[in-house]
Amino acid sequence: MVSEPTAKTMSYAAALETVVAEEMRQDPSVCMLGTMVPPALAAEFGPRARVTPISEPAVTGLAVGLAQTGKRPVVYWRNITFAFNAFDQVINHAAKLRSMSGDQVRVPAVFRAPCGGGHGLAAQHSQSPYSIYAHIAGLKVVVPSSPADAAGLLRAAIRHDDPVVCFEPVRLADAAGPVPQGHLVPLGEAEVKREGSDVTLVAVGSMVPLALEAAEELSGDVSIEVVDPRTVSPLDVTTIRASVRRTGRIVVADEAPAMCSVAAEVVALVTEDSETFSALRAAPARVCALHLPVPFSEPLEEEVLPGRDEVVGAIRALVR
Amino acid sequence: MLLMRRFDEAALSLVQSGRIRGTVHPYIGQEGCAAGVGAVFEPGDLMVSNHRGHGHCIAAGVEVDRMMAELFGRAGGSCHGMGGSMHIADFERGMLGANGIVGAGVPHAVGAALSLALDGHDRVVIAFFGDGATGQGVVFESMNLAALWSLPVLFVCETNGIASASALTEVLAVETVAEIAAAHGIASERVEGADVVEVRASAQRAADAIRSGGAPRLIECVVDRWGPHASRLAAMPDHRSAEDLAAARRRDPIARLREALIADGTLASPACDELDREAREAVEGAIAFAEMSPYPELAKTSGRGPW
Ligand SMILES: Cc1ncc(C[n+]2csc(CCOP(=O)(O)OP(=O)(O)O)c2C)c(N)n1
Repeated sequence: MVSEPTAKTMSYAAALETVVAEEMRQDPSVCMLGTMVPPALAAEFGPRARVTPISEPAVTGLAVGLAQTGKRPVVYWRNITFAFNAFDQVINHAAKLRSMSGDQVRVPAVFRAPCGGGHGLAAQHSQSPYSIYAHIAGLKVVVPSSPADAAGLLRAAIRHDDPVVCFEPVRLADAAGPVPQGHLVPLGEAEVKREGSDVTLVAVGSMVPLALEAAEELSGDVSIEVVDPRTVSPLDVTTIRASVRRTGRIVVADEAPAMCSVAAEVVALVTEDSETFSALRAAPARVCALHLPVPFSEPLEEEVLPGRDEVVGAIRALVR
Repeated sequence: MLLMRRFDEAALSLVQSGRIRGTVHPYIGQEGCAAGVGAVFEPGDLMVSNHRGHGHCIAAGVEVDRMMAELFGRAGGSCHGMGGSMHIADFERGMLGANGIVGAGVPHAVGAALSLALDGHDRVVIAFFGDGATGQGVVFESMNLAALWSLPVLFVCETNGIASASALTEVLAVETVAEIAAAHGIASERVEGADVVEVRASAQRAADAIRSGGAPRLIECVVDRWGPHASRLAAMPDHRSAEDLAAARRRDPIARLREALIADGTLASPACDELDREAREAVEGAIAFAEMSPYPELAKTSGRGPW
């Protein structure tokens, strides 16, 4: 990301918060609900920024009703964990109302879901289940990996007319980077974060910075192209396939377990396309979490979740 | 009420004879509630319904032609055949949707009411639900939020004492749904659903109070469902004796209104028959409309994404 003159350096978390405030300022239909609302937002927007009881099913359902009647609610779930309580409202209602009503209504709601591990919060609070949501037709799912993408994707999500779940890996919260003023990242567009010619490394969310480090570390031996899908539903299959056709190899790095994952989907999309398949010089590889609830104990958490070393190892094995 | 009755009698026989697919949950016996509450529904008001929603839709003013076409899965349906009986929605009429998940529409109503409150409208959002929905936490959460934020929601619980396979007394720890409202600081009235005049008066009091200052209200309409829970489940045990069912039929809201209107000289018996004939014709017309309507094309709907 080239820093533009108008870009400000800020953290990933601040980028998200700033965008909510900016969107609320420029569009009076944007409102925010959550058990935690930044005091500055509450002070500036009064009734449009509401602290709610710990009632995820109702608050998520309220967002559906708000969205059906012309508002653009942003629900801050605080952790994807708490959203499982509200599955019904997301899957049966937000995702399906447009279709079931014969397009009479759109549901422009955004659900913000901090996710992932790295903070010793143990199994219930350390999950990256974006593939569960990506599985649901009617939902769009984004996983930004930098402050700029966080700002750009959240802004696009708030302006989008269908429901979007925004996964925010907690490991990235303090990561700082340039955020251009008014930055907008279109939903459904991957970004090539680094160009290379030997291996396509598709990295999702918190794995993107680690993938870039791995690519740097190996740069003397292997030329790695790092592709960040940014939106995991719908996936930008065109960018991913084009990269694999150039490099002939693919590694997918994702903090979620491999079972039924976005990584699995990426591999399927690459291999089921005959032209891309025939460009492959090695079997695709996935670097994912172990299929276990994330342990509390620090060394065990590290063992279960993938890191830079696993990415480096997978790439070395592939080009051997 | 007559239109609701004739519509659901037709819907039930259409699905039982295989002319339409899926399932319908007939509203037969409960019409006094939707008709009484619907009478205070004004343009700009909004409504959220449940799985037993045909009567509610008619009360909101959804055209029976478009409802029937929806049951037939045709393009002329209010949802272009994409929703069917359990998802009839007509946003032009303020009908935000019937719903297949018990209790789930209630927070939508509260969200819609928050939306109206943010815009400063003196509108009311009516949330219909059944007594069985009191088993769902989201209903309690929604009442709490509506009361906490003084939102213009009229909760209408249709207490028919039975929820698919269970009797209310088996599944609810308190005796009335009004007690649940009270626990959330929501004023309520409990009315006999077979008395449409009383339902209407109660709904009017509630709507006036809501329009003049906010706080939500609840009406518990005690109703009788005579028909099966659902067309598919006609043989389901329903916990009521033959005598109880016969007594329920004697509390028919339509017969009761007819007798009252004739007794006070408002309408003569032939005029009542004429109204019934009109209702039957409207339903027959709706079936003809539905059958003439083409099937929808997936490519023209959001059914084809892209997501
Ligand atoms: C969450 C959920 N659980 C179970 C069902 C199956 N179901 C459909 S209707 C019904 C009974 C609902 O009773 P009530 O809300 O009192 O309405 P009634 O059918 O009596 O009008 C049940 C259990 C469902 N649709 N949704």
